[in-house]
Amino acid sequence: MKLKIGDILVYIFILILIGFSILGLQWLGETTEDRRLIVEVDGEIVKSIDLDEIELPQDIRIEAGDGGYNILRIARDGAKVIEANCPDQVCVRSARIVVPGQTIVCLPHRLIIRIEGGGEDGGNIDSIAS
Amino acid sequence: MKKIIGLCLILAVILMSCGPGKIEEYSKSIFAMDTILEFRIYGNKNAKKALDKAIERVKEIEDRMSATKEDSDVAKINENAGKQPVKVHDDTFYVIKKALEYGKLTEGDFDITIRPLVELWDILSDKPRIPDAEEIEEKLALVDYRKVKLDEENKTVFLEEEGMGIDLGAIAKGYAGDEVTRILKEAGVKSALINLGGNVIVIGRKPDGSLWRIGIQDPRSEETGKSHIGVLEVEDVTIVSSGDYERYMVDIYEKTGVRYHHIFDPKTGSPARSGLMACTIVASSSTDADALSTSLFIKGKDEGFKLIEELGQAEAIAITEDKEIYMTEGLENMFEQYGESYKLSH
Amino acid sequence: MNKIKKMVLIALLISQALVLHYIEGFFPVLLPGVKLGLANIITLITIVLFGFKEAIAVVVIRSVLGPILGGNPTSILYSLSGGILSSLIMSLLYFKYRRYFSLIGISTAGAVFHNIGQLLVASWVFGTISILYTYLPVLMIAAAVAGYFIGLASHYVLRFLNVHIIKPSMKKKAKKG
Repeated sequence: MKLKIGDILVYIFILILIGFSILGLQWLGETTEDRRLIVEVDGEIVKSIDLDEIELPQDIRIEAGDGGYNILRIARDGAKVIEANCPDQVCVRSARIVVPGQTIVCLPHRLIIRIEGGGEDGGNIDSIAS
Repeated sequence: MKKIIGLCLILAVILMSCGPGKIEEYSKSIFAMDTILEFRIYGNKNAKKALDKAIERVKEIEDRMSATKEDSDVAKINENAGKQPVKVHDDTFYVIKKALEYGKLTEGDFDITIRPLVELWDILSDKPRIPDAEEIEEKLALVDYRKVKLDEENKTVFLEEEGMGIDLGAIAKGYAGDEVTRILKEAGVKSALINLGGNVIVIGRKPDGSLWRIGIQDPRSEETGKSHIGVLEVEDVTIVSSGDYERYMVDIYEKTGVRYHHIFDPKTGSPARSGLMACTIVASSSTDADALSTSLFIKGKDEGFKLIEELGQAEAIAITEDKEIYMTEGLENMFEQYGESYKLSH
Repeated sequence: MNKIKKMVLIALLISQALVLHYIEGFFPVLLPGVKLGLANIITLITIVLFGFKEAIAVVVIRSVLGPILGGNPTSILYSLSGGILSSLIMSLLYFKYRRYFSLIGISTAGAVFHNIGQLLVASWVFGTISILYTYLPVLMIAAAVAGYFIGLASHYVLRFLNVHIIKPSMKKKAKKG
């Protein structure tokens, strides 16, 4: 059976679609590149900061309700809790978080600080067993 | 012909509407069992109801098995140590029975009667301290899983000596994981990711059909700057890790380099030193995975791996203090290393 | 062709589509979603022999019954969306632009839109567009290969039918309907 002009067009159409979806994939990859610092209190996001946009290190105060507070020092390359009035002080002693997936938790204040995003290979994970 | 088409379309619409409904993502994180519990499930409206039911169940388990909550089964058992047997709920009984089985399997390395030592060191509090040898000796005499007596008929638990105490911290979270899995699966959930304070459970695959990618915690992430040492690609399993990094005395570690962490060796009465920084168990039952990961951490790589291979229902990863990663054969194809701080050994 | 005969023939086509669908279940799955789509041979033949409406009827019944008989009713939605979209495209090309397309081109276009239809439903069900990008390249290549094969197979089947089964006069009449 002989191929006709339209058949060729169908195959060209396929190539164009493949090209577009590969472009789409790359675009998706880029959008997950930026890292965000997410602060949640009691399951609700109270702060979402683009780490790449921070020029100089700064301290931010998070009110955790009932007079509880945690002070975070955030910089382009990570974040840490430097002060808090929680009874156990676990969050203050927690290591600085620098890569997507890491978290600092303050149980008494029901506070979670975590970094999201990042397109690094091996960084693309769903959860961490710890 | 029109009738046929019409009939088909009606049939199709009916079938679609009584089908599974639109699949959506429901996620929730709650604070319970002294940690964060994160749920991400995919399913229809039924699934959402099941999630609420699962969370209720977790809280119920906590109320029964926490050693610190007043009125919990465990608190009652501990109060009545040396006095009288205590009637407990069926699930508490099951978990204690399971824990004692592990005590036997590990020849006492996994021992829930560790409570007196946990209280002595008090690592989980804001004022932990290193007790002296005499104090440890005294409490060690109270640690023996064989002195827990179960009465199968009346569902009672009795600790033979006064001062004894049990702590289900190394297994209750695992049991909660199995219960959550059961409830979600019964409701028809085909895809879910659950993280119970570090115990990861995955149901099925991701909704797009790919495997779940679960990172294994880097035990020295503050030094390496990496959150995980590698990734396991899995479906339908539980992954549980234990290590010296979870809770330890930071001040002493910073001064002396010795980590006094929260997993005690019932033979020495001190935090376990088996040459491991961390270990991970991959299994289908979360209760088993939880108990085995503590056992492996206390036993160390050689003895621990031997036990796991004998049991034959779990796979394991061990990270030694020399920064070497070992794993059982079944995991080698699923594991993808991340970063270069650790050496993969065979 | 009288009504009864037509109905019998369509019933035959549906059952053949179901059999092909069933046989394909034995083929190993190379990648999720990548299938030969043997049943599309029947769709294409129905379009050529009877017309658009009949083809839609065959596709709908096959898409509903196939998954039910196969014990996987959740895939009805996927089969339907892909099947209907692909028969629309194939009919359009066959009845309006037949001069420019051979059966291979038509069936390839059908396969392409079959997969697009399924992907659209999948991204709606899962609420994410990224499925589209991830699977599209693989599925398009698969469609190109499968479409070629299906077109060729339909061509030979139709040639056989024309020579041996359906008399030329009947064929003309059927096409008008």
